[in-house]
Amino acid sequence: MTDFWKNKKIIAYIALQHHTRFITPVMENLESQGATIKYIVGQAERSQEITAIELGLTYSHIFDFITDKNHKEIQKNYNLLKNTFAGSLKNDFFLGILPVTVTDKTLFSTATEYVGFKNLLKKEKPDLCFALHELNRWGKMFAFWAKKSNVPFITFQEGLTYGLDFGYSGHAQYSTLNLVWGKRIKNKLVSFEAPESKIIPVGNTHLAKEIAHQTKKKIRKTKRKKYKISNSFVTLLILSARLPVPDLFKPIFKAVSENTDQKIFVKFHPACKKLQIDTWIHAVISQFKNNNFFIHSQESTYDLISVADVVVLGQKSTTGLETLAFGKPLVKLDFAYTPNSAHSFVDQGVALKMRTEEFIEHLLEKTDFSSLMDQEKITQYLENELTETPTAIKKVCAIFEKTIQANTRPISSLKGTHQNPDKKWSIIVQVPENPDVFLSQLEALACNSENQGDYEIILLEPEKKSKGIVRILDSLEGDVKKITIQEGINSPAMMNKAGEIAKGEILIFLEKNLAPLKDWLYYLNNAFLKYGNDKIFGARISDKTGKIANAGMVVDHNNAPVSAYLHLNIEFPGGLKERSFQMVDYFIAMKNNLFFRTGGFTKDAGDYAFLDICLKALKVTNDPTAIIYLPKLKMIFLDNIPRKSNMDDSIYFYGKWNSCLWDSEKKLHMDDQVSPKDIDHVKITSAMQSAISS
Amino acid sequence: MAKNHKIKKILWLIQSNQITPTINEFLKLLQTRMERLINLSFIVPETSSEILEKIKDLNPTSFKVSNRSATKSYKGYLAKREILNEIEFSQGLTFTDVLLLDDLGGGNVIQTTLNIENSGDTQGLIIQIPTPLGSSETEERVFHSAIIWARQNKIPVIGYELLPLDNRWTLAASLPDGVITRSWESHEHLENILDHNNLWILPLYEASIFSSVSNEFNINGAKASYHYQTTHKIPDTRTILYLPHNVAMIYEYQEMLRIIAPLGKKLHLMFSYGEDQVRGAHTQKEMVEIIYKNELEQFASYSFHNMNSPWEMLMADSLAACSPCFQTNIAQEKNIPTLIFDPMLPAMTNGFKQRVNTMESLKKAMENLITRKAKKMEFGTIFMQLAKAGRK
Repeated sequence: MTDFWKNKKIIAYIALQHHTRFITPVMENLESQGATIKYIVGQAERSQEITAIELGLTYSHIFDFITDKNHKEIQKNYNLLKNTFAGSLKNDFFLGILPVTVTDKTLFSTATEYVGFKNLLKKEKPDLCFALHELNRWGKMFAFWAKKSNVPFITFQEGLTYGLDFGYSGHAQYSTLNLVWGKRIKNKLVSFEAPESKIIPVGNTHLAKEIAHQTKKKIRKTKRKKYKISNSFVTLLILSARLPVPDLFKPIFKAVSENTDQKIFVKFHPACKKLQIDTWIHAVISQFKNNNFFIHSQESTYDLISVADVVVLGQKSTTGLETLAFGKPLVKLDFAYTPNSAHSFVDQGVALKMRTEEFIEHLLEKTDFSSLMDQEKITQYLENELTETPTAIKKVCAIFEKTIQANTRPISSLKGTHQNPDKKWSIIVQVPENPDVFLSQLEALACNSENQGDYEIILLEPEKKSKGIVRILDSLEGDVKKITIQEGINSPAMMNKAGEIAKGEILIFLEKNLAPLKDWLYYLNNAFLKYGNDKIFGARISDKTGKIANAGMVVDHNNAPVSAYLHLNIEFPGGLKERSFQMVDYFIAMKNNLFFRTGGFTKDAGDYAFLDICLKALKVTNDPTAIIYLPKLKMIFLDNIPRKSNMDDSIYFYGKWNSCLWDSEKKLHMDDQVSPKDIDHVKITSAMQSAISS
Repeated sequence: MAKNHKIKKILWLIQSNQITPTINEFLKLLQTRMERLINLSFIVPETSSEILEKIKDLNPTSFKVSNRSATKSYKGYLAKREILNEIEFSQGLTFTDVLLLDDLGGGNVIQTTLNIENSGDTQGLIIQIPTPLGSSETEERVFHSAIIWARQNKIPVIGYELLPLDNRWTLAASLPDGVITRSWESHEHLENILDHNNLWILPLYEASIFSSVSNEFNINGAKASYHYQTTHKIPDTRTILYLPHNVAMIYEYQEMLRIIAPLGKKLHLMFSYGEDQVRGAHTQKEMVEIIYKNELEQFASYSFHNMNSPWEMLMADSLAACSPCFQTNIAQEKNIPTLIFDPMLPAMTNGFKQRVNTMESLKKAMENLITRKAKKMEFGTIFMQLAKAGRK
C-alpha cells in the first residue's frame, strides 16, 4: 500500500440510507488508507440528516456554507427561478407535478444550495468528490461546481436502471466519470445519449462487501436464532414503495400461519410511507397472526436475504439481482409478472414464475427451490449485470487514484534531443494493419505532397506485421524512416519518439488509416504564413463513406468531445468554415518547437493523444485561438476510424481536463445559425443517402 | 344607476379549509351588501362538497374537478424542457439540468381541470392563496387550476391572504393578477416582490374576519398551560418558547436552536408538530429528537404539542419561528409575542411580531424575553403569595 491517500480529502454527498450502501464501502476503504472523508447532506422534505446520523457518519449540511453575504445572490437566483415557474404555472400544468407551495420551497432550497455547493468547494478544497448520481438537484449542482472548481467528481448508479432512457438524460453530464455495475447498464445509458467514454463498468461496490460480511458475522445463524426460527423454512417477501393489495398475498400468509415450521418476513421498501405500511400490516394480521414478521427499516435487507430460504418478489425490485448474487432462489409471483417486460428475471430464466397456489404447494412440500433454478443462466446474467463485483471496491479506489493523479499532473516540456531541421516537413504515419489501405495511404502521400518543400516520412510500424505489410515496407525507397513499435509501448509514446528524431521544421502526425487529399501541404503552408508559428492546425476529415469525422472538435451537452457536425455529409456548410476550435482530432501539424514546448503527446492520453496535445498547447501558448481548423486541408479515413474505448485513456483525459471541457457545441450551432431541427433533418437525409448507396 | 345596467358577476371560490362560521356570516353580509352592484357568486369544487351544507345560505354552486395524469411521458418531458428553455443560474447550469428529472417529475404530468361554468359576465375570480407551511394538496391543485382557468377565460384572478404572506416563498402569491393582504407587513413585503401594482390591504374589521382562531381558544389555552406546567415540571422562572416546527425547515430550526443554546438552561421548548408530517419511517417528533439531539441537551426542557391544539401556545412567552405560518398568524391575532428568525429577509417589527435576521439580534431578543419573563405572574402565584404573606 502506498501513502497516496494520506492527506487527501474526499467529499461524498449522501441522501437516503439505502443509497449510501454503494458509497460508504468505498469511503471506508479510502479512509483506511489515510484519506479524510467528509459527508454532506442537502435540504429535503425527507430529512437527509437522518441518513448520516443513523449511519453514525459525521456530516455537514449544504446550508452550513451559506453566509450573510450570499443572501443577495440566493434571492436573485430564487427570483429567476420563481419568475420562470410563475410564468409557466399561470398558463399550463406542465410544471405543476408538485403542489405550488412545495414547488416554491424546492425553488428556494435550490437557489440556496446552488450557492452552498459553490462555497463548499471553495472552502473545503477536496481532492475528489463523490455522489451516487447527478440526476437529482443536489448531485447535479455538486457535480457542476466540482467541475467548475476542477475537482474530479465521480458518480455511481442508483439501481437497476430499468426506467425509460430519457429518465437518465445527463447521467454522466458534469461527472468526470460514471462508474456503473455492468455492461448492460452502460449499453442502456449510451443507447440514449450518455457519453460512452465516461461510463466505466466496475461492478457493485456493496454486494461483495455484504456477502463477505454475512459469512464472517454468521448473520444467517445469528438472526435465525434471534427470531427463534432456526429450524424453520423462511420465505422473504419483498415489496416496493407502492404497495400492492394485501389480498394478493393472503393465501401465502394463511399457509404460513397454519404451519409452525414455516415463517414469512415481509420487507417494505425504505421509501414506503409509514401510514401505508401500518394499514397494510393491519389488513394481514387481522386475519393471520402467526409466523409473520414485518420489517421496514429495522433490519438490513441483506440480513433478511441471508435468513431466507427463498425470496419472493411481489413487485419489481432491485433486490432480485441481489438475491441472485447471494445465491438464493428467486420466485416471482405470476400476478407480478408482465410478459415481455424488459429485464424480466423470469424471461431471462433467472427467476421462477409461480402461481400463488403453486408456490404454497412447494412451500408445504419443503422443496429446495435452488434445485429448480437454471444455474448456467444465473452465472451469465450476473456477469452482464455485475462486472467484476468481487473486486469492485478496489477497482473504484484505483480509478479514483488515477483520476486525481491525472487531474494534478503538470504540463512539462518534452525532454530529448531537438534535431536541427533540414527539411520542411516531417510526416509521421502509423502503419495500418491492412496492406491495401497502407498502399493507398502511401500513394496519396506521394501524389499529393509535391511542390511544397522537401519532406521526410517517418513510419511507425508494429512489431508484428502481416506479410503484405512487410513486403510494402521492404519495397519503400527515398527519405523514409521506420520506427518499430514494441509491444507494450503505445502510439503516443512512439509519436513522441518520431518527433524527437524528425528533421522537419514542421511535424505532421496522422492517425492510423488516414490519407491526405490534393494540395494538403499547400493549404498547410498558407496557414503557417497566415497564422504564424504558435498554432496547431487540423484538417477536414471524412470517414470512408464521406461523412464528417473531424471538422474541429467541440464539447457536447455531456461535456464530452465530439467532432462538429459529426456524421453529417463532409460538404455540410458548417464544416467548411476556417476557424479556431478548442481541439482537433486524428491529424495535427505544428512547428517542432511548439511540439517540444507542449511536452509532445502524453503517453497516458492514449486514444485521446491528439485532443490532449491541443489542450496542452492552449495552456502553453496562453492563446485561446491556438488550434486552427482548416477545411480546405482535406483527409479521408481509408478504413474504420479507431474508437476511443480504452478505460485508462478515458480516466486520464477526463481527469486531466475536467475543468476545461464545457459544452461548446450549442454555441457553435448558434454561431452557425443551425437549429437542432436542422441538424436532425440533415442527419436523416444523410442516413437515407447512406442507406440508398449501400 | 341605469335601469338596464347588467349586474356583473364576481366568483368567489371556497374550499374545505377556507371557511369558518364567522367567515360564512361575513360573506353573506358582503353578498347582501353588494347585491345591487355585484353578483357575488360562491363556487365550491366537488372535492370540498362537504361544506355545501354549511354555507348553503350563500347559495353556492358546486363544480366538477377532473384529473388526468401521464407517467413517464416523453412528450411531457420535452414540454417541460421547452418551458425551462435553457434558462440558467447566475453562474451557469440550466434549471432543466437541475430540476427536470427529479423535482419536476421527468415525464410525469398531472392535469387538474375545473369545470366552472363561465356565463360571460364574470369580472373576477377570488381565491385564497395557499402558503408553504400550511396547505392541502387537493386545495392547491384547485388553486393552480383556477388560475389557469381564469387566464384561459380572460378573467382577472385575485388572491387573498389567510395565513401570512410575508415569508421567503412568494411563488403562490405571484400567480394571481392581484393580491388582497390582511396586514401591513405582508403588503410591504409583496410590494417589493410582485411585478404588478394590484395589491390591497383590508381594513382591520374585514381583515380580522379571516381568522384561524376559534372561540374556545383562550379558555383551552389556560387549561393547557396549567396542565403542561405540571406535567413537565416547568418552574415559573423558566422562559417558554413555542416553536411551530415544520419538517420543511429542519435545517433552519436547528440553526436557531444552536444560536439560542447558550441561553438554553433558562428555556423550555414547546415543539409543535403535525401528525401528517411523517417522512419515510420517521415521525416529526422522531426527527426532532434524532437530528437536534445535541442541541436539545443544552436546553432545560422540551415538550411536543399537536399543531391542531394551537391554544397551547398561550403557555409560551413567545413563539420562536423560522417563518410566518399558521401558528404565528394565530399568535399575531392573540397578541402573543412572536419572534421570527430569517436571515434571508430584512428585519421588521409590527406590534408583537418581530422579524430578526442576524444571530446577534436573535440572541438579544431572547435575552429580552428572559428578562421580561421575570415580571410575569399567574393568578395562582399571586394568590399564593397573598396567602403566604397573610393578612395585614
